[in-house]
Amino acid sequence: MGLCGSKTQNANKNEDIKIRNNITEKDNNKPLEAKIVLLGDQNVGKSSIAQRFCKNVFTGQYVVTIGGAYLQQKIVLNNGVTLKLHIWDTGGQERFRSMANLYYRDASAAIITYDIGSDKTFEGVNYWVDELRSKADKDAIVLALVGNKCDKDSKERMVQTSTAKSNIFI
Amino acid sequence: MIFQETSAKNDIGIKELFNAIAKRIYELNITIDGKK
Repeated sequence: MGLCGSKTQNANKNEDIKIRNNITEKDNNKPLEAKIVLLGDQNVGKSSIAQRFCKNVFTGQYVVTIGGAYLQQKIVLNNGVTLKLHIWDTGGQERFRSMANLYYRDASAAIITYDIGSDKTFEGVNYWVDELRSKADKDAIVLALVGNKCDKDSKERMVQTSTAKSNIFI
Repeated sequence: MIFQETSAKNDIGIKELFNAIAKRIYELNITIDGKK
């Protein structure tokens, strides 16, 4: 009888361990998550970048983003770790600037975008860099400077790669 | 700061951009879970 009870106890203990291991495995399989925000002047291609990355599509149509749009995509790193990226595409029009902090708050990364064929959009980069450096936690956010539309004809290029690269150290 | 030139139209540099960002986020441990 006692032996039988001890067997039952052992069986319960093994079941416990199995369940606990199962929970641990599930936790390990859960992808890490990160929030990324796309910032920059209007018509630089923020939405197109997000849609290309998340849906692998390019419409070529200019549709004004009102406020912000949300997309997500998983990415597997070289070491096998999966990251689930929550991507917030923001409206580039000046009237939406005051809302931007809602999107970059708690973000792990910010992509500041300009159009290589437009000096004006490149000047706009400084606004976003200053905004993020003053209001975001600079130790907890990855900044990326992106020159979109790089396939433009060289005659149309207004922002040289070297100029942009030197800007990232300012 | 990461720098990348891209073309969403012709799919140039987009994967490289997000790969570099994801790698950096992971290295700095600033995922949503890491920030908690």
